Amino acid sequence: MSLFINNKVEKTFFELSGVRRRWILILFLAGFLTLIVRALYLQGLNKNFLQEKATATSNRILSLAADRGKITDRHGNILALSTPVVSVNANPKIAKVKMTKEQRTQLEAILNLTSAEVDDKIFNSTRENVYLKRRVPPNDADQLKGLKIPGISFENDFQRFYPAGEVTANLVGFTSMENVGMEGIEKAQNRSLSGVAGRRKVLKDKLGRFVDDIDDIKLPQEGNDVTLSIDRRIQYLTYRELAKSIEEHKALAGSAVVIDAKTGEILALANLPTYNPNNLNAGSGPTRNRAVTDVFEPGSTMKPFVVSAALDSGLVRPTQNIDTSAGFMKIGSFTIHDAHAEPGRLSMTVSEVIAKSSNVGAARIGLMQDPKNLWGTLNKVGFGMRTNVGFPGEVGGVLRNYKNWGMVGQATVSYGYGGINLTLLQLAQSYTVFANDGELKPITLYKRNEPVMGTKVFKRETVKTMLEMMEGVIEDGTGGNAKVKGYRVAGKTGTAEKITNGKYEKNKNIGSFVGLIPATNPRIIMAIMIDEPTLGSHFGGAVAAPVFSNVMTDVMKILNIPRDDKLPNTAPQLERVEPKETI
Amino acid sequence: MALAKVNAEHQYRKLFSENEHQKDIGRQLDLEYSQLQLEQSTLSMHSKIDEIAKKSLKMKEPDPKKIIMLEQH
Repeated sequence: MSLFINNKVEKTFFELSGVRRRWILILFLAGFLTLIVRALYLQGLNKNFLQEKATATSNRILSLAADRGKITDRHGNILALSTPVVSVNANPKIAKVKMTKEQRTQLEAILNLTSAEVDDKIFNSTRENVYLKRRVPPNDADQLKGLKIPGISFENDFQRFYPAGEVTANLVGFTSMENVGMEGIEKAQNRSLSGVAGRRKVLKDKLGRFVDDIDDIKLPQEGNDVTLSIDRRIQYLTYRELAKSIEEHKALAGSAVVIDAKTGEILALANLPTYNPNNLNAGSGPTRNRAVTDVFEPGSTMKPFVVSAALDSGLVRPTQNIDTSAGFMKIGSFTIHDAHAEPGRLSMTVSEVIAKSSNVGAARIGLMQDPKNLWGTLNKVGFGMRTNVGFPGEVGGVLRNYKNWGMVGQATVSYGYGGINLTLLQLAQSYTVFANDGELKPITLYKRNEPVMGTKVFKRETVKTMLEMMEGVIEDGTGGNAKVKGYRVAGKTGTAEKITNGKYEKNKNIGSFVGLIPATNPRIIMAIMIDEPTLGSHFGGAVAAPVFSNVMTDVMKILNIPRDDKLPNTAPQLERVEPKETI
Repeated sequence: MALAKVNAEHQYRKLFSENEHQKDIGRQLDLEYSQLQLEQSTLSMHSKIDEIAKKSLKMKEPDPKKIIMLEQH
């Protein structure tokens, strides 16, 4: 009741402004309504659009590029490296209209483009976005960024550099514009080298500085480095001497491989012709790694295995005489010739068969053996099987099954013809048996940190005898050009006619040489193959053996391998001074 | 309380920005390092050393006969 009375009193007090009060109330209500409607409009209907807009100005998603790993030689010298570069893009529609004359001249100067190229890319283009120039050095790009040319944008990228250039090109390979390995080690190890790009989302302030991370950072996974077993110095020497021989004999191509005889690591692998991986567009296109992808008939470099197999099973002794029938032998209608036959000579010792490289002698020794055993030996040293060095496109050659040999087949295989072919890499690997007391060491292109187990093929005594025989090749046989001053060398020359359309061609040859040094305890094996020498002699002893001698003279110094041969010492004799005891 | 939070946030962002700046410098140095590695690699090529030694320094390889091998005991 009392409340009613009070109300009544107040009412009388405000009675005067009744109308105005209502108007004010309505105005306020209208005002609030507008605000509520606006708020509903912004928060309800347009919420997503506005939020995106705000985020777009202050948030930024960054892609964190992963570095492609380095490829280095065994001592960490770089053979392939990625460095950041910038791709310059243009939006022709904007650039056409907004770029000033002055800016255009500067653009041409910095990017080293001709006026016509700019016309072509920008002014005659109907596209939305064009690459003005890819792989621009970062410094040039910074300079260009400073000009703030409308319609020009930048993209971070990587470029691969190959400091050793054509010397390692067939081996290391190259990458595509998109940084994917296309050839060689770059292809074989692409997954490991590549890494995974990461991303992060950041908050920017009004000056464009990053002030906070918004989401969790996804760190990029950097690509792994790859360490090859190659020694860059030896690689260079091998390449240089190989190139020299090819030039001198006007040959089509050539390959050479140097391996550490004890560990099976490949120290050098050179091929010619080659290309410049830093400038793929200019000149000759990419060429393959012939030492790994191309097979050839080994010819006489096979003989040491056939003779070793006979020595191993006790079928022959080194001094035993073998009937070589003056360099001719007939099996049915098939005739075997000796290339280095001495007229009137009817027989040779087993050692001489190797030293003089007698086909007839090797065929006879081959035919003495059980085909299954002979095949077994050749199979054990890796013929007909890939070496699995980890190189794309490697082939394993052919070793025809002994069941399909027949007499002729068995005879020809014994001197490396018919029913057998192999890569230079296989040939080099097979000779590791002569450096490891008869054990075959698997070869590799990647640096080994621990010794690897071999497969026993021959007895230790057999290998010792064979090394002595192969020293004979150098001392007074077909391989005299392979001599290295101060060292004893064991080796074998080979000359094979090339097959074109299933026929041997008399004037197309492959000259080869495989050598081991120092012969007393071989540390290094080098195999060389020269394809179609046309000038001068075509024999392996003339075209390939000198490469061995030239490269090994320096390699012995580089690797500090002690001499095993006494030289006539003409240097002034130094007096021996006994070391004084100190302290 | 609220002001302290604002202040802390501001300090955090300042430091974060500084950190970013330093990382940028780090990246620049990485770039420089990779370029120097390349340069070193190019300058230390065997062919280059060989050429300089023989041509400008007029060095010669010693005759093997003049080399005395020291025996190891």
